[in-house]
Order: sequence, then structure tokens, then C-alpha cells
Amino acid sequence: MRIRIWGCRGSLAAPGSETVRYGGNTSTVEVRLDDDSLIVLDAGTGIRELGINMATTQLGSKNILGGEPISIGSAKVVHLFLTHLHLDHVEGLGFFSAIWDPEVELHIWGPPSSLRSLEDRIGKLMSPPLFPVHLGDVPCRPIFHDADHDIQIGNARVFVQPVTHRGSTVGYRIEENGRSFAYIPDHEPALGVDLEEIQPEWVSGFSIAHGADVLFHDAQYTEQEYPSHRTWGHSAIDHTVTFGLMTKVRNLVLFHHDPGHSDGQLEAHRVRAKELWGSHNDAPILAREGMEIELPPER
Amino acid sequence: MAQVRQRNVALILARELAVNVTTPMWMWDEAGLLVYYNEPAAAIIGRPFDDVETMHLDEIDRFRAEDLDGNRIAIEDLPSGIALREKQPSQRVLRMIGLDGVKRTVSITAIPLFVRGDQFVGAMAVFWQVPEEQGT
Repeated sequence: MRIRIWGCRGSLAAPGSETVRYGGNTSTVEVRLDDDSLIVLDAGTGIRELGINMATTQLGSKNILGGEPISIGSAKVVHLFLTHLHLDHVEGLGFFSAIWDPEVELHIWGPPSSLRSLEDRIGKLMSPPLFPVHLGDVPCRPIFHDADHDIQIGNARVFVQPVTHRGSTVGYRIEENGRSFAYIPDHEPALGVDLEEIQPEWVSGFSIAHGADVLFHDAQYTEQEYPSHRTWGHSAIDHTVTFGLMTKVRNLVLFHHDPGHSDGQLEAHRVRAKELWGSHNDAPILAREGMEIELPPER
Repeated sequence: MAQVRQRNVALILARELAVNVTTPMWMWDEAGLLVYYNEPAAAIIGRPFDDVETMHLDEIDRFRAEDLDGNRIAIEDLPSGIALREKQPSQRVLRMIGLDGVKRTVSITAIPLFVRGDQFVGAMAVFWQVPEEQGT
């Protein structure tokens, strides 16, 4: 499996000279399975560039970002998994080239609601006055699914679990050929509890993250910022590190950067995370637009 | 995914609520195991949660619950029993003997906890001590 980050900013896109290094696009992660199947995690503003790459490849053009061309595969099937429906995780959907291609089979998975279907909720976003085109008029006719059960895609298994955030939110874990990638971009596991003291079975997201080769996890706030943002559904750096150590992940990637944090501030956060991580295995790193992580099949 | 034990997030959030309120609360998992009660509840139960061995609903008769006329109440007629077995909310005023040996009159309101997909994940109960004159 190969993972590529197209957006890792939280809350709001933050383009500009202060965010060039780590990127200003909101959450979108491409996961290419070993059989070339395409999974996309979240539809933040980063999904636009992912779509451009797919489209240029289809037209036989060069990848505009300069890397290896990518394709959506001969089956033209895309599985888009939404962790939740906050704007920063869905606002790119209308600008994702796949939805304008009638030959693409787009499956959209998202957290269930007792009151309204996923299609209805997405439809509210993709309709006037918020968006000029009604969801029902987009050419690819997305197929909507409640993400309330584990899903098999090719040789990969996608595990789903609700996690603590504001509103209905899930985390995902993708396992393929012995490798695992956990994705919990918006998460406040420390809400109301002391992560240092509590038993793991009482920690939100524990089983999704446990032992993962790679974990992308919310690290929006500094320890100083967190107290004034408690209950907003996000983590402070020390929470993220404690969660990563508790779950024994091999590689912790700090994700969902606050739009107010510059590249320089993020570097300082990485240093702090490394300090908290101590002498354990690979120290936490910062998610960065364009970052690729390869998880070759386990031998 | 390896089978790693983790409580349902609804139960986790319910526990966080219980930790942070001063209203006495206890919680049971879907199998009928008492998984947590908070400090205010400990004052009524007569012992802190951390000092209590794991307790199943079937063992709840150690509290010797009785109605206000002194008749023993069967487990299936206790609010937590109804919430766990019939998956219905229930409320009752009763007397119980705490683990400290003190008999108290308490009002208990129990509710089953369901999550999406009608999955039953356990039950929680709010209970508080009733002044003796109100219990009679």
C-alpha cells in the first residue's frame, strides 16, 4: 500500500507563504492498494489536486505536480471514505474531477446518522446556495454507504470505528498484506480523562490505532493552546504522543495542522513531540502535502 | 485487525460524563458487567470502584435490595436489571445495603444504551440517596 498526502491542514485551508512547506490544503489522503485500487480518505481541499492528477493522467498528460503519473485504475472505481462531515473534510468534493466523469464509479462512505442519509447530508452541501450544482445532477452518480461496518476492497480490509470528536465521526484502519495504516485526523481522546492513567480499553480510537505501521493523528494544538479549545474535538501534541505510545504504533504522523500555525511553528511542534516521545522507536513526524509513505507487503 | 479490547465509544463517553459529574452514576456493559461507578456513587455503594472486584448483574443481590415495605426485590425487577435484560428504562425507590454495611434508601433511574444500528452496548443508572422521611 502506498499513502500520499494531498492535504493535512485542519479546520480551514491556509495557503500562503507561511504554510508552503507543510501545505495549506485541508484533509485528503490517497491510499493506493497493492492491486492499484484507489482509496481516498476525506474530501478536503486537497482532493482537488488529486483529481487534477487523475484527470491529466487519463488524458495522457504529464503529472502537473511533477511526480509519477497516477491513474484511478482500469476499473475506474474510487472509494472515498469520509471521517465526518465537517466542512474541512468535505468542501473539496465538488472540485474532485472524479464526480464529473460519468464513467467513474464513486463510492462514498461516511458516518451514519439516525435521521438523515449520507446522501441527504452531502446533498445539503452540494446544492444552492452553497454550491451551484445539485448533487443529483453530477455526472458520476455517487453511490453512498454508511460506514458502520468493516469493508473489503480487493485484498484490503477497511475497519471503521466511531471516535470522540464533535458530531458523528469515525476513524479508519486499512490493512493489506500484513501492513496497517490508521487514520484518525479529528480526535480528542483526552476529553475528560487522563490518558496517562486510564486503561487503554477506555480510550477512544485505541483498537483502530493499536500496533499500526503508520498512524495519522490529530495534533492540532500545542499544550498551551489546548485548555482554551477543550471539547472542540482535537488533540494537543502531548495527547497525540501519549496516544501513539499507548497504542504502540510504529510511525506516528502529526496531522490536522491548525490553520494559524506557520511552518516554523510546526517545526517547533515536531521538536516538542520528539522530546515527549523519548527514546522509543521512530520519533513522530509532521504530515506534509506531497509526502508519500510506502508500506510494502509484509514478507 | 487484531482483537484489541476497547469499549464502544458511547460507553467511553458515558464514563467520561460519569467521571465529571457529581451525580452518582454507575454503568454496565452489554454482558451485564459493572464497568464503572463514580466517586459520588461510591459514597452510596459504600466502597470506591477501584476497591471492588468485578461484579456481574447476577451478583447485584449482594446489596440486598428491598422495597419500602421490606420485601426483597428480584434482580430482574431492579432498574439496572430491567435496563440490561429488557432493554427498557426503569425507575424505582428502594432500600439497599451498601458494601459498608449501611442500609440506605435510594432512587435509581436506569436507561439502556443503544448506538447506531440498534446495537445495545450496556446501561447506565443515576441514583441518589433519598432522605429516610421521603422514602417512607
